[in-house]
Amino acid sequence: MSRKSPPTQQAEVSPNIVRAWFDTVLNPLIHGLKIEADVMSRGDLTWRFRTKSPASLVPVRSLLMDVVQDNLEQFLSLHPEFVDPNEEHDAELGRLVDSCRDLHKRLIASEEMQAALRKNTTPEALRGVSIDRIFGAVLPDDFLSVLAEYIINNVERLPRFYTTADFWNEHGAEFLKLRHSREILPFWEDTVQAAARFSQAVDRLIVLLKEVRNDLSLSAGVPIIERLPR
Amino acid sequence: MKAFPQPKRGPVVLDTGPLLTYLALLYLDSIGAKKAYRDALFWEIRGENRAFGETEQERIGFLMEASRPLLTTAPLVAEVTKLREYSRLAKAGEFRAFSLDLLAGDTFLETTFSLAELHREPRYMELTRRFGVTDAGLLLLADRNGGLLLTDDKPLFAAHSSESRFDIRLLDEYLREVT
Repeated sequence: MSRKSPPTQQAEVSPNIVRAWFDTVLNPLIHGLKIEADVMSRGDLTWRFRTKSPASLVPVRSLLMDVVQDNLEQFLSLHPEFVDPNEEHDAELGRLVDSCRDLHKRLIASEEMQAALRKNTTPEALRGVSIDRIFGAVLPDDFLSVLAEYIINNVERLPRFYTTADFWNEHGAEFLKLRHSREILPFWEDTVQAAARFSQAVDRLIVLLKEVRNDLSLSAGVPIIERLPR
Repeated sequence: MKAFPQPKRGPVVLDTGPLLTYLALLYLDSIGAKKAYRDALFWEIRGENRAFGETEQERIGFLMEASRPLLTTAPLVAEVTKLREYSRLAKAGEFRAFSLDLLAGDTFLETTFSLAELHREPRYMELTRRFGVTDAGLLLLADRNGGLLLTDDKPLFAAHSSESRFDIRLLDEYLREVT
């Protein structure tokens, strides 16, 4: 099939190839994008201060294993309409990562944030609990970064098995409020806007991928899922 | 960040799905697996409808670290290391050996129950008929130790009654619960 083939001729792609696209490209992509959509719908940007990146949000290609990248190439060569939405996803992700980095930097440099940490970690405030016990293996230089991570990820409360749970569940609201302080607000708003645009790009891509998967399935007579899930 | 010991409660008892999930997490961490491979393995283990992203992975890691030692039984270990239903894990040749090393180490505590124990109590015999020896044994252990049984199997909740001394939760829900 020529690269210039109109969409109507794409049914000529053999069922074997469609099966391979489903198993190695389309289904894993849609699954990975659904994980992105899921965390975004919860406001969890999965920001990790150690890697300075969101753990669950990655460029489209990184949702697929290295060994199947050639199948993605083949799919894109016959479905060039996906090139732009993929690039849009990755570009919006890049903007979101940049805004999270800026917000993180601004948060840990914030005097208000530093003052809030000092105030809530005095011996009296900790009521006998050591700060090392709260932050576990985290070095003191990174205490603010841990809290900034929670702020960026919209963590309101933590499950009890986090060492930081008691501290955060008591004082988290105070730290979250800092997002609306004068020095942080512009960076917070940038992040919120970037997150909204990225979410839209993810949702659009899911819809488009599902549409083409359905078309391919019906035209080639290949089931989307070959076996019943467990 | 490491979890620190929580106030003493009963032990955590893992059903097959949660145990396999935790072993897979440790395995993936040990080989420095990339996101795409992690997604594929958890998709196979957890299924399409259970998004098991990085937040859930972080949380199960902290939960298990804070709950050591985790109780296991020989039938449970046998089921978890069978891997028949999990082609990707079965293909990862070293996964079974990796799991056996861990299961024999101090992260887990293997405990025993006998079929005679299950047989003695009509309630447990009925549970054995319904859910099989492995699950009935886990319910017995959880009850005996006042523990928390984490499962992916909602029908197991039918084994819980007002007289039960154990708690039972779905793993996905428990990881999202906050105090």
